[in-house]
Amino acid sequence: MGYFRRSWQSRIAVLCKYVFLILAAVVCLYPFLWVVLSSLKDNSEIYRDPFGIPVSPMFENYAKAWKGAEVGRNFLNSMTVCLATLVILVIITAMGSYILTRVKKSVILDTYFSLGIMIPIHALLIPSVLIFKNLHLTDNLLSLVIMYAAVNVSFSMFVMNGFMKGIPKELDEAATIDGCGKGQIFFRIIMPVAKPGIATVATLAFLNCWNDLLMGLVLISSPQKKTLALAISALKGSYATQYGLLCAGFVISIVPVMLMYLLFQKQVIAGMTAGAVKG
Amino acid sequence: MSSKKKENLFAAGFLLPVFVIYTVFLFLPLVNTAFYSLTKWNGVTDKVFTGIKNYQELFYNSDYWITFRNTVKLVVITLAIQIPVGLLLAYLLYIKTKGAKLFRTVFFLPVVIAPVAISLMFSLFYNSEIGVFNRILEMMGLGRFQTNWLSNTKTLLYAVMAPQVWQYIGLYVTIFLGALQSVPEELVESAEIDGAGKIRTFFYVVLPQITDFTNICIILCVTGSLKAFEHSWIMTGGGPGVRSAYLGVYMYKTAFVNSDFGTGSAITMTIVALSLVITVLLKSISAFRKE
Amino acid sequence: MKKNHKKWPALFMAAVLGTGLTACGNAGTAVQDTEQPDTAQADSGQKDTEQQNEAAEAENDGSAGEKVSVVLATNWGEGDAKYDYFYPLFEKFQEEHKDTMDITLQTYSTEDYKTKIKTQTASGDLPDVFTYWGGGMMKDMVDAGLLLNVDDYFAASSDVKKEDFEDGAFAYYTSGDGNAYGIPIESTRGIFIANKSLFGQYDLAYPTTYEELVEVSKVFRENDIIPLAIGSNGGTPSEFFFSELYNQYEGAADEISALAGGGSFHTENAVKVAEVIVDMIDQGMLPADTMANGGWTGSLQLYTDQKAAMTYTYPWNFEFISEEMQENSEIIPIPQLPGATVDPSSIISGFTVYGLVINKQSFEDAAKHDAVLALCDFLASDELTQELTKSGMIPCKKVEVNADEQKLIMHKTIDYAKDKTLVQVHYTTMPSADAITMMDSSLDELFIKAITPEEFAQKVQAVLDKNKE
Repeated sequence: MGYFRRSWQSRIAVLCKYVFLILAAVVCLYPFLWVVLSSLKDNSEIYRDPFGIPVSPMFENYAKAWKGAEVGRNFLNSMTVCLATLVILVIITAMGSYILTRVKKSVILDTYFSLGIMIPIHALLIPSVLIFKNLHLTDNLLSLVIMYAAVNVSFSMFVMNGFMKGIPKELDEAATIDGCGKGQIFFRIIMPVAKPGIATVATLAFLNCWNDLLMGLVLISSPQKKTLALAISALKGSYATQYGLLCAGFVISIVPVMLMYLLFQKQVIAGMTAGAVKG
Repeated sequence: MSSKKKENLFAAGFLLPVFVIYTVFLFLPLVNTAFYSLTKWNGVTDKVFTGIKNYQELFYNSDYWITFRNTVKLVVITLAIQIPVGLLLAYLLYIKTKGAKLFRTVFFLPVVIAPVAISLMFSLFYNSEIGVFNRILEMMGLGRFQTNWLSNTKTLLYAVMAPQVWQYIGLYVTIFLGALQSVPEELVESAEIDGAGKIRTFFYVVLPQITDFTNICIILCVTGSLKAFEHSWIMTGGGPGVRSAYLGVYMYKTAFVNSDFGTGSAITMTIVALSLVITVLLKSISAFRKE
Repeated sequence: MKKNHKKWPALFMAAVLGTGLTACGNAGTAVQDTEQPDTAQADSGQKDTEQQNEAAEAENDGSAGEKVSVVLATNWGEGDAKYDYFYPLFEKFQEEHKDTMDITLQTYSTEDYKTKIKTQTASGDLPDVFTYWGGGMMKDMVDAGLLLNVDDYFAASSDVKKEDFEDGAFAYYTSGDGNAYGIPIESTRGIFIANKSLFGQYDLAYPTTYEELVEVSKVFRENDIIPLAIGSNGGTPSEFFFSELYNQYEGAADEISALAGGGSFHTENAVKVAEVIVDMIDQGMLPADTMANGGWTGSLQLYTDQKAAMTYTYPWNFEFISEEMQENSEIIPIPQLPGATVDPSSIISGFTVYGLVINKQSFEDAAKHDAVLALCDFLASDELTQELTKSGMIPCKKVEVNADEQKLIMHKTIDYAKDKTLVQVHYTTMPSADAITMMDSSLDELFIKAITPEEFAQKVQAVLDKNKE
């Protein structure tokens, strides 16, 4: 019934919508495809036919990138660092956000924490190296974990706050009546409800950690401790660069992030959603 | 009284970890940078305290103001494009679209690709000798707009901005989509029953519901632009001259290429100051709107 | 509620002040007490402290049998042609010395590497031995007394002598005080190459004068071939091309070498060369988009794809020239520019690219001395040098090079360079890094005709003048 009632105008509108969406999708999908295609070419082919299908796919780029970037080892480094960062980040920001939104509000601390979002990472390079040198943590993955957690605090608090505000106050009150302490409320009630918010923070922070180059560059020296992003960046030549090889490296490093996103996207969207339900 | 004390103690204890990590590893380095900005320092020999000399020099440095202008332009352009387009795409996915999940994933894809790869692709795309972009223009009957995108002083800066603006739209689609899905359906339905058209409903009912998210997006957008670095650095090194450099690029070039860490730090402090000003402005605007 | 509002700011201020005071002095120590207990639990944390203990012990009892930790840094990243030749030998060396040394190898690709070394310098964490650039790049380090006068190394080394190196190779590392602070590794020659078959196809002779170049270019342009694949992105390869052209003019050689000692950049010759370049652009000799076609990869690619008839390049790009193209390329003198007095077929630009510098403190540290010495002996050894030449490197050290393992284009380069006088480029004589940066970025501007030749020379000169203040 509804279908027939629709005027031809609205049908055209729907058609336009899909055309537009598909166009946008192509524009978004293309670069990924381009990186994949280029990863199977050599420089000549990339320049000669930058947007074509490789004539004789150079799968050896992958073998070379895998070996050159020591993907086996460095992937583990990256994973360890990113996951450790996420765990620390999520716990500390959730705790902090819980206090600042539900126990003791403080405009000053809110502002203080939001300051970090404005600091360009380059400004932190030298001071942070100095700090970790004094802590005797140079060339140590732990320094990366701490630093990644620190630079992501602002943004995470931001997202977390929005989310925590949305959890109905009645929940805390009911729990208090049942005799739960604040700590119990946080761990037993707030954290489980906050899952989607946590997923959002985790995904975005993971993205930042995984792709970071500069922090890793200044804090890590020995090849055994390089993150994947660092190792792939080292595939660049000193003068000319083999772009096919580099692209193969990119593809290898994109896969885990994509998986992470696919795995958590439900929660991410839900996180954004839940955040808006105001208490 | 004692329970009050206990609560304070608890609050302090819970806040402590995040406060310590943030203060020690982010805020202290910033304080250090603020201190460096008052010195002449080449990163090797001892720092010499020079007061506000670095800032004074920046004030009379035409390159600094070019990069400053470029940065402000980037802020304006990202705001004018990323937010509306992100919102539009999110809205299109929101209104009962088949395959919304698939689209959502696809739109997010560029966000995860390393900016190095994106920048490389765009360099080839613009290259007039290989000529893909120019060829597309010709096919669309816009042949007269063909130019050397990266070597034309009029198009250069925008050509460098484009990949960045485009790459992160997906992030805003994701955020807005979440926001839209949180708007109670009854609200929208009742508005439509009241005879408000789709567009009116969107502007008067939906949009006010998602202000918080819009603010998040705006702040992300602004701070992201103010810190912009990679695309410009990789495609053009900020050049020719500083014509496609943002403050972040100029800061990096000054500090790490030219080893003038004092001036580099001063540039950083101006980036932070600019962010602060814009954020405060935005906050007061949104506070004003709420009243 | 209000009470609490007041409390927070106070707490906050106290914390900031407390931590802030230590920031300028010793940023880490205040933190150490609170953080260390947590962090020490991590494996890697422990390992690090162990290493430090070891180092400390080694310091205590001089050079007795303990393992010494040394850091070697090179810009030969895993994607670099040299890495494949360097690494196997390095592993062998490491294996041979595993009882006495614990070597950390730190490699990054050139741009990342520079940033890394700069942060390490700034935080007082310089590697013990590392590859670095001379001239304006190392000046600050030399002034601060961080680098070893290499005469001290040669005096201590039984394997490597200063005489083993090419004459003049040390010039790039010689500071104002007349001492050299680096052991040169890689030398280079700039070559102007032409595509034989393209010249044959259009029945053209290689141009020897600028007028001939103009004529040849016209023919190529009519046939949609770019005459000269030389772009400018970040000053590559334009910067070297500029210097090469510059050397054709009277007094050029002296002017370029005078730069190191405070000579001026803004010379009549500089403006003249810049004007020639602008004319080349006007005549359509260069790629239309010099930014997109700049950089080593971009410029070379147009040539190797036969989209361009000529280019100017360096041996470090030989890896990217296919064997066919090596065969199909002829090295020719750059056509003589109008008003030039130096015969271009009598000169070739050749200079030290980079070399090895030694951390003075480490070398003079009794515990590390032997390890650093052994490491340097290895890095400057004939064996490693010979191995590196296989990647297309021209060595600064006089070693026997097995010609069979060289690329054809390298043979051609060596043949061509035989009877030529070596000339300097601005890159090696510019007194400071920021002057080089300004030259690069202003060349980019000149190439897109955003500034005039006069403005170009002024911009670079302004940096030199500012540094003299």
